[in-house]
Amino acid sequence: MRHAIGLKIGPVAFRVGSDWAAPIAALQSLYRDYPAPVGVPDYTVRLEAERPWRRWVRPSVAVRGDYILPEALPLDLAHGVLAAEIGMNLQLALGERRWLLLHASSVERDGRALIMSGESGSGKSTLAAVLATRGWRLMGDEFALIDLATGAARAFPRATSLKNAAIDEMLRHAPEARFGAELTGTPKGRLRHLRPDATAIARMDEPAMPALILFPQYGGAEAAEGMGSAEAFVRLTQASTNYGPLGRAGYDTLTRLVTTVPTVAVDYPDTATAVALVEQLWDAL
Amino acid sequence: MAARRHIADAAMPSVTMEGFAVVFHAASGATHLLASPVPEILAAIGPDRGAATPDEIVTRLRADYDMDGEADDDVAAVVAERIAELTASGLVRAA
Repeated sequence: MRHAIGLKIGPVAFRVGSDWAAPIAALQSLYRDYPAPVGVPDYTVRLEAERPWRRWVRPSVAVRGDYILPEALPLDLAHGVLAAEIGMNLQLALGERRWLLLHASSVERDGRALIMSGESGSGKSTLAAVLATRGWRLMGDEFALIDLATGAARAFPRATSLKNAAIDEMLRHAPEARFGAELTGTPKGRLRHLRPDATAIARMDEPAMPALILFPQYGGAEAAEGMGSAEAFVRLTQASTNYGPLGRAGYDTLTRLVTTVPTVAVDYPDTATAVALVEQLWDAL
Repeated sequence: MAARRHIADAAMPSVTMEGFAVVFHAASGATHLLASPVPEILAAIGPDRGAATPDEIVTRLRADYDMDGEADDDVAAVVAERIAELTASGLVRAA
């Protein structure tokens, strides 16, 4: 490929190649504080012109890699960073067999991990980013990697992907210098990346044992309700991208997680309420 | 015609959560959430205990659990229905 970058995020090494310079330059800026990967990358992502002439004429980016979803639509070149992010998520989600992958954000305090699982729009990314400005270590905003042998969570602190109102919320907590360029009109609306802080990057190879699992839901009145292991199990199988392919190892890892770690469903009307609730639940452990 | 005997497909790992048995079936790679009395029936025809007809399963269940007040015919009917479902899901097979 004409342009390429190697990225190491937690235990995963990517090589992202592109037909254009701009998406790689944007990644270089977002990931400038990360250590350079060593050796063969785990996954390759290619941002290619949909057709040869589409490098120049209304350039649109097709995401390619070892694993592809045939129905994925190409993106506008202006959204090249989003295309790279989608490609990296996809390779990990479809290809990873070393850990149980949960679609969840995670933060760490005192050596123990808080895992927050939820759909897009639940506020799990924003919550993790805000907690990271209050003494927690950001472990990741998209995937929690659960070690099949030990049950520990591994960090995957990629740049936090903030959408719409979450951008304005985070601008109140983090300096402008940590933000990437704003992308408008993407399939997910307005989007802006937030670079993880120095602690998240320096300690990204440190695992932490999960101590609390939350299912946050933005929009309702403040509420916190304990969840049984069986419901947590079913919801986390749905939140996992590789539970099925892992077979017995996935079953053992997830049953151990839900039977040893307390789980709470949390509804909240605003981020300040959620942060107070999370810290209250954590202190009560 | 004599009733058929059935046996669990294999020894299956099971974790109990709030009354549900979360069971992993290695042959299909599928995870099943089973509510009572299905885990109990499955245990009664595990590889360690061997195949059994519905009537024999009722006898085994009576030995395993306190089932006073339950008529044999009622229990046998439930067992036959659950065995049919378990066979369809692949967790149990005719011996």
